[in-house]
Amino acid sequence: MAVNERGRDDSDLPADPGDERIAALYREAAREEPPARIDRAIADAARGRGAAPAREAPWWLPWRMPFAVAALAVVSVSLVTLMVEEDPDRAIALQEPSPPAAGARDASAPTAALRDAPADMTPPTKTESADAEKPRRNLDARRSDAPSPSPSPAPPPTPETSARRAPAPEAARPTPATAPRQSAVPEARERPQSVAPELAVQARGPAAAPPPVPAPQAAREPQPFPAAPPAAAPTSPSRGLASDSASGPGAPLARLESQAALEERKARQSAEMQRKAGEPAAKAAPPPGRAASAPARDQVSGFGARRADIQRHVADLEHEPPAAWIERVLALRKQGRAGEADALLAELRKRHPDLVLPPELR
Amino acid sequence: MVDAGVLTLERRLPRFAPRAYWVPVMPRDDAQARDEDLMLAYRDGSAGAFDELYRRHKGALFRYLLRQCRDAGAAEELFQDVWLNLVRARASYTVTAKFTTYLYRLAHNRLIDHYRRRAPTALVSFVDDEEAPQVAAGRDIEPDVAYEARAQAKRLLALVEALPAAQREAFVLQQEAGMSIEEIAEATGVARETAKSRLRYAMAKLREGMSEWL
Repeated sequence: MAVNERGRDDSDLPADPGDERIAALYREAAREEPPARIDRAIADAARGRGAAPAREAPWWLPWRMPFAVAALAVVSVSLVTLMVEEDPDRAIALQEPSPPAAGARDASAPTAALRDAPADMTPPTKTESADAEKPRRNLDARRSDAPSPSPSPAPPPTPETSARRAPAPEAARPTPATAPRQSAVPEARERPQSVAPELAVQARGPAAAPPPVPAPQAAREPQPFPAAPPAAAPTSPSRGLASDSASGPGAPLARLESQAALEERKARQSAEMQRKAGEPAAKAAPPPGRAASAPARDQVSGFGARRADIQRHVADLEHEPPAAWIERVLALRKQGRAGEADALLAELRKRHPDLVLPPELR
Repeated sequence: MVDAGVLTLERRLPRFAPRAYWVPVMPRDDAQARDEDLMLAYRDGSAGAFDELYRRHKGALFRYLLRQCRDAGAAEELFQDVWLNLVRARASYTVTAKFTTYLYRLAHNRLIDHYRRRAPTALVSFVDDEEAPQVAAGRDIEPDVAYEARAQAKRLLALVEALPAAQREAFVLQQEAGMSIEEIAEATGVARETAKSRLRYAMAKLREGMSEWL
């Protein structure tokens, strides 16, 4: 069929004999054709689509929604697991039901059985505690600003746990015959919440014992500076718990060791930084573990240069109330040992994050 | 526009009929089938129908695009695009007009897109322009051409290229696609009188330019 024939209904155009001649000339002149490669491409496209008129849906299309839901579930579970691993106390505090008044220890069978082990059991060695708390310590090591690198599971500074962690000095002193050698945090986990006000009162010390308030309120209140403990405090059922929360005799040792490791690492890092900076003071900075001169130690900030001194202070004040720590910090500052004072203050803040410091230390 | 034959064909091939139980009704001789029937057959899966359609219209469509964009490379690209658009749109094809009108409407729209993408300096006006540059009459365009017929053809093509775009389009659609004035108007989206006027002006200019040979 010739497509370039004259239209049928062009009769209203004026008939001109020259028009036919022009049309014939144009047909002779216009002979361009598309290239063969385009013919092939178009034919392929037409046949490819003509062979399969309806495109089938890919196999995975019906599985989109189940896959999406499964992926969401996996991510959610992973996140929750990660959160629980990092902050177990928060998760436990969220999940903890209203505790029974008595017999809470009996209710939790395995951990309670472990805790109720005889008191004359040998204290946990370093390797034991390290094995038991390995994942925990790894997490703590990752968080450089973690509250305290203690071997026992260090709870985050939630108000409740910090209130529990406030030391009750007379109960915290290790008395091998009476004090149970148990970790503070498991005990605190198992402890019913009704004990919390009592603990808070004890943490502040008997001198500043306010009337009992509900546990969350008491825990949320900023802890004022506790008074110095009396020489002898009356024994009470809750004192055992307080001594538990203060930690057993093995806990300070392990905490000190992990703290020493942390300080050593920090010292290495700071020494390396100083060395890279090329400062002459860095040359004078001794490696951790080696005695250094006092001026050089003062130039190096942080724990590294004064590790031994700080360890000595911490060991001295391990079972002292925060007031004693603050007195020591102030004394060190008066002596001009500002570095040690700052390090000690940092350690105090790690242990008592909710402690209200006196104005001169803020 | 749709004649009884197409309607009969559509009635014979209900769209809801399961494909497994019928074979697309193909004309016995593709060469004698109407364009619309071929397109319907292609819509229903006949690749041979498309081949026949393509054979019929490929040259005219290519020349139409070549005259309009005046660039062989661009014309090839547009040509391919138009046919691929046809292939893609085949599932929704229904006979509402002559197939040629449908095909050249696709080409016209594609040309408009092409013009829009070009540089502003190269814009082509589809408005009737009576002040468009005229090709000088005479034989001075190709003085060295040996054969007169070839000279006449070249002269005519030069005159066609010199036409305003709208007039050129009307002329090429009439000559290449064999369209009537109504079909030109429908394919280019203008009124019938506008198409008629464009065609008349175009022919007048070409007659004037070719007056020495007519």
